Amino acid sequence: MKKTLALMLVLATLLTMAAGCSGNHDADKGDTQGANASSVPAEDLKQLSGKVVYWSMFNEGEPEAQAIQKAADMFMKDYPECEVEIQWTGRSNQNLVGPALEGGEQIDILDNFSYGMSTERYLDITDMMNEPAYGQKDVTVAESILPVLNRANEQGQVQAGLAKDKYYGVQMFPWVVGFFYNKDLFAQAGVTEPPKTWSEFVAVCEKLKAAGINSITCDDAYMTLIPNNYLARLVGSDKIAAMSANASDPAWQSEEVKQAFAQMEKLSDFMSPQTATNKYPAGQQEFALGEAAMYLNASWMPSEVADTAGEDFPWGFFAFPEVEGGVEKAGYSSVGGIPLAVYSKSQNPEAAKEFLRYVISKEVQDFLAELGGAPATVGSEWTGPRAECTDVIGAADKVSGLNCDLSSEFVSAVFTIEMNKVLTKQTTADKAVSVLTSEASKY
Amino acid sequence: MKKGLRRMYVVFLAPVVFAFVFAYLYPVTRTIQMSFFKVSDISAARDTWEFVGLYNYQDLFNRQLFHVSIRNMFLIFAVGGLLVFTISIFFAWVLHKGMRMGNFWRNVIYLPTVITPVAMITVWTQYVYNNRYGLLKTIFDAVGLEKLSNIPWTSTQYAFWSMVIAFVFCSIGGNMLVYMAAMKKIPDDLYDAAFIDGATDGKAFFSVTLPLIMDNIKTQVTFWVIGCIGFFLWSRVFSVVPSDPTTITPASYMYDQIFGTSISTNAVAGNTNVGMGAAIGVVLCIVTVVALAVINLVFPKEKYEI
Repeated sequence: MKKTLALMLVLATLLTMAAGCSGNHDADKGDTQGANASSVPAEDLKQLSGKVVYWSMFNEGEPEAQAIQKAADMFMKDYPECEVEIQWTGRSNQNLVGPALEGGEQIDILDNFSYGMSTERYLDITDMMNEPAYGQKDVTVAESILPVLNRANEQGQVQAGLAKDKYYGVQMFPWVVGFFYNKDLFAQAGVTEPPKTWSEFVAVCEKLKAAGINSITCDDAYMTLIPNNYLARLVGSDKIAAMSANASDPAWQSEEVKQAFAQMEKLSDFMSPQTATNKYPAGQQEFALGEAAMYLNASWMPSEVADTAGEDFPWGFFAFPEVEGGVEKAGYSSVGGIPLAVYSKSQNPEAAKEFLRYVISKEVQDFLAELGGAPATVGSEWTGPRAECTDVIGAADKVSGLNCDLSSEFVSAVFTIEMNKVLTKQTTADKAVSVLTSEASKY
Repeated sequence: MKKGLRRMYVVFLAPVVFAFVFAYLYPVTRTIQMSFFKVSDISAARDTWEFVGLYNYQDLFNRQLFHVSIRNMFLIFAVGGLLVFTISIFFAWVLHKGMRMGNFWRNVIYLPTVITPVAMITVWTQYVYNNRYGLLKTIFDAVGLEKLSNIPWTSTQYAFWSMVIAFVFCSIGGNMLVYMAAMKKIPDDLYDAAFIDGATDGKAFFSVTLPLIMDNIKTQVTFWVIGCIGFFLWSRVFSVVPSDPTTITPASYMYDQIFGTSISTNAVAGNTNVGMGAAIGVVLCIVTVVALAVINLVFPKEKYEI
């Protein structure tokens, strides 16, 4: 009897296990079928297989990394014969990628590069950019991206001597420079609208000062942004290019440069007294703690101070004001992104291009925006503290680099230092201009 | 036997020779070679290098920022060195002579040396020099020295000297320990004899202690010179602004040339000339050799046997 009972129990257990296994198997099968079921019509899919390797500048867990991972999952679902291998190598990935490529490592997608360096590394992806965007049949991939980003990409290519009318890469994860401001402090000073022109901006500073509020704060790392943005709008990007190329360019001795110094001297009255000694990120913290009303920075700033500012911080954002009488108009903005490209010697270029198309898709970019990242596609809304960046980047029609493309050793060693001194009341505009004149011949 | 000995030489020397050739000689030769080329990227393939002869050197010596960096390096060497050596020898002498809680003070002075420089620089820039709640501000306020308390330590005007002070502070401990160890080796008989002959403490220091620790001072000066020529981390972290003339040093300038300069943009900026960076490396190497030769000439050759 006991033996029979034991036998029955064993049998029952075995049957249960078999049933369990069978159930799991069905479920797995179902999942696999789900994974294999493409969200793209079969006729639109290409004949692709093999591995795509991407060494990314992002770290696992970052919103951008999650978005890229989503694109990889979507891609592998549509192309089960393909595998996307992503190495999250972090911000200094360029130091690793170059030697790895030279060593024969398979890397198909590159990011975080400058076209000026190793121009031969980037594959012409114009054909992919002219294909319909993923999930948007009526627009091409190129048209689905914010026009300013394509313009920034074009400028980067042209500066590196690459063809203007082709795509050797695509700009993703955009940033735009503008003033972050504290809406509560603005309201406290009776300012209802963010300023659009320089004189309105100075008037806002005066109101804030009258209300006992530090109008602007800054850090050493970003101090150059205020004078550069002012000067670039005043003299225009062509003159800026000439001034960057040559310290002896007559534009350096022009009235406009003197005007820029004079305006910075005027602005120094409204700078937080801590500005002279702020070592990054002390100024950002000052802003995040509500001790100053404005901070000129790129749109990545809220994530840098998220812990200090907290969730309820009254974030506002406006474009750098238009300078009256200046060459550049309201649409002139410092805009950029992280370039992504397919390696010219990629072992699987077609699959790499197709994967890139998935990364650029509106679906992935909207997902990124939901996570608080910066989307690169037209019609995707920025969220959270950066919500107001959507309008600013949308209105940009002429792009420049972070420092308005004003850069040279003369700029770093003399112009920027003298401007910093003027802004922080360590010297006067007149003295700074005379230093500029006397030092120019040495560079 | 001789054959066996030779084989043993080969076996024991081979790894070292191999390591020397590949880990030292090859990079050095490659750097020298690179300094005669225009190279756009540190990892650019050899066939993309463009031969420019001595142009990188000519261009380098014409650059004002390089002159500024050399001047900064020299000031760190001279002023920083004077402070570090004077203070550390003084501390070593005082602690060697014996004082209450000597071991405690020795450890306190040595402590900054064991902390990683990046952490120390952050402490100095964000806390000690802070103009709102910093250590210096608090102390000077407490004793009523308003002028000193208002000094904007990290502003453009003062940044260089603030960096030197902080660097000196962190360099004293290590030097002091070396001198203390050297002073311990000096037999007491020598001091006894000196005091019997009527020497004062000062006389004993200059006539007995100093000559007998001169060898250690020479070693420390050698390290100091090498440290100043390769002065990079402090310059880099103290000012995050690339090519900031207030704190730039040749090593930092070399980095800018090789890896580009960028201000918080994630993308690496273009317009780098790695060849120029290599030229700076070669120049610094020559400066090091010359400086070491000068040290050998300046310091006395005669050695005192203890």
